[in-house]
Amino acid sequence: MRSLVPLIATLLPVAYALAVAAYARAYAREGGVSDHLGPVALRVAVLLHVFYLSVRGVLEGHLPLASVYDFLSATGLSMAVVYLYIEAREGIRTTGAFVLPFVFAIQIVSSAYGNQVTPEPVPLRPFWFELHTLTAVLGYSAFAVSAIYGVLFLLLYRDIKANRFSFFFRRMPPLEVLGQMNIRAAGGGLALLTLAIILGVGWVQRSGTGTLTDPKVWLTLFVWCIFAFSVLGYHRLGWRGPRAIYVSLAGFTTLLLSRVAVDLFFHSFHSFR
Amino acid sequence: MSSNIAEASLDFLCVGLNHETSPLEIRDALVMNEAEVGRAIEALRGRAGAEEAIVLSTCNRTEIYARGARVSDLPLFVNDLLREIKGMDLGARGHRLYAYRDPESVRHLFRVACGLNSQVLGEPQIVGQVKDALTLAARSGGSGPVTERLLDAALRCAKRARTETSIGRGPISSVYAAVSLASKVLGSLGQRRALLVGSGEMAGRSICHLMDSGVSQFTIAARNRERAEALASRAGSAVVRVVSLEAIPVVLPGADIVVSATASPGFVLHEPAVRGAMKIRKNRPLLLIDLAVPRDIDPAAARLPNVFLHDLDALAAIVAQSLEQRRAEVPGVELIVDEEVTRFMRWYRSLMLKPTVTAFRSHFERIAQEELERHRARFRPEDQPAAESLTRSIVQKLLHRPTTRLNRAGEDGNTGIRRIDAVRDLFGIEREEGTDEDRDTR
Repeated sequence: MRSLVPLIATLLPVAYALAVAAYARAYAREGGVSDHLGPVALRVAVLLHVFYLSVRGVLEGHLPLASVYDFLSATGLSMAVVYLYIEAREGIRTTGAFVLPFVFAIQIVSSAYGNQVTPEPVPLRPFWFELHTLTAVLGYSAFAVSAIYGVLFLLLYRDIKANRFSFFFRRMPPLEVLGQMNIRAAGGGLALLTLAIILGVGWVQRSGTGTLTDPKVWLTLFVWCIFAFSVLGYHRLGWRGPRAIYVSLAGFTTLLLSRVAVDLFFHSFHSFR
Repeated sequence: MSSNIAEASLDFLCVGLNHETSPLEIRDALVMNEAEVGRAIEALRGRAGAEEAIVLSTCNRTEIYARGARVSDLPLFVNDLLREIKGMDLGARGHRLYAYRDPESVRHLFRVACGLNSQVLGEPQIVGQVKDALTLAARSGGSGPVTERLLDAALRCAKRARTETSIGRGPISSVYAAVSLASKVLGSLGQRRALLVGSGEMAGRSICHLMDSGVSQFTIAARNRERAEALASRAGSAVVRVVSLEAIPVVLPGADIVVSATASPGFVLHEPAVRGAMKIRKNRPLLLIDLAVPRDIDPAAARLPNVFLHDLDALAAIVAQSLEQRRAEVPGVELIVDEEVTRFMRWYRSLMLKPTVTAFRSHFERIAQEELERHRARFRPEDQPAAESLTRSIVQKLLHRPTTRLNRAGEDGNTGIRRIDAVRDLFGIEREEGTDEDRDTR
């Protein structure tokens, strides 16, 4: 079983690369009939990924989220799952060629540097702490997918405004739908992050580990506020177009910068090392 | 003798004219109504002796497809027929009809159904027109098993062309391009409201295309109220309100799509009006389509966020792009046409083979029966059933392989046809036997 881990870790980027190639082919072939190949390849890659993480979970006795590479792998899987959910909901496959290369890139880094079972078992952690980590990873992944849709929205918006009816224009879904995909992913991420925050606060208070004044905690709350503002603007204030997108992109940028800042400039009790 | 099958496979003809061979005035004058189509089919069946006939008459073509016509010069016959029915003597005008013999006539019909032979490449209306032609032929007694199969195959070919290639994709008119843009910006148009400025032909076409895309609420702002009311009455089930041009600032905030096509010399819609409307509609996207020359909408409105302004130049660019894409799909469609023509001709040849195979077997069975009768006296009565069974069995065994090979001859193209001709030649099977048989089987 243990020997399977490096093998699957090597296979995973290959599986995602095949999915990326299939989606890119479907994107490039306007009116092509073979655009079911991408979803099939992606589902296979996701199943393989779930199997990989399950095997590691069984061998390590906890969720495989001990290192930054584990975190990357879980983020890649979550992004793929979020993408598949949005694809199934909206019935649009042409955006896969833009989302999945990130999944592939994330997984190749994770497979290259974090393909071994953690040698020293991490002390047993309560189920709800594991859930905190899991929901946080899923939330961040949803924000990442939302950001990709946001960028696609802005590119398409710019093209239509400028009367540039390029190949990209023809292959993208309607602007309104891209906006919905952006906000739905952001909304999903917000819900998951809310759950992660609640579970995290509960864990801090029960275990006495760490403090709520930790920079990562308040930066996360700040990110939460930005996304909440974006989702609220869309649903309650009727925001449409670039404004709502810029706010959600600001949220994702803050999220990325805050993670770098926490690791470089602050001492946080729960950063990945 | 060797030309028997070849002749049999060449009894299908297409004679006609289209936009490539005739000017609009001739095409217009030759468009046939249902009664005229009925008369043409009756003449083709009665006077020309055609077994089956179909007339495809649209504003861009008048074509006659006939099977088994027994006139030496069908184009001349059709020419006379058109003079008789439509009062137009094409010959006197020095105008010639084109003629195709199958499989070229089959190929021509398939290309027509796919829109390859249309004035606007890949246009979809032709599919409906081909269906109508079959319905009219059936009503007039012109259709038969071969033409029905032929038109079914043509429609299948058209369907394949549309699903397997992009020949039918992309807008091919400015108004259609405008509606495509609306869908690209706003997504589903089902709940959207449109404001049409003007009541001319462009506004009329816009209302039709927008209704086809699901828009069901319209406001028409026009100077000529009477014409606007007339336009509104054509909108069927849609909710249509007519207002004056002065009311535009009032109705603009409620519209998601504005199509302007007036003959006004100046702007009808100014930037401040659009800015005000955007404020009221909380910056929700607004699509402005300017189909007028000179322009109706102030270009400064395009600078406002979430306002998408497109004029005729922009729409022309979309149309040109679509046509270019469609042209790139032509080789792919031609391949589909080739496949479907081969498929149809294979079926058609198999139809011609059946009588030959039957005649071939009958020939042997007749000889066996004759020989049995000649020698019947030499057998005791109780041995006669065994002798009959033995004879039948020998004939069956001898004919099994040749029959199988003959049945497959239709799949082998010209080689198969030569094989059939050789069998007819070797065993003295006349075509008439087959033809009668062929009729009986139908």
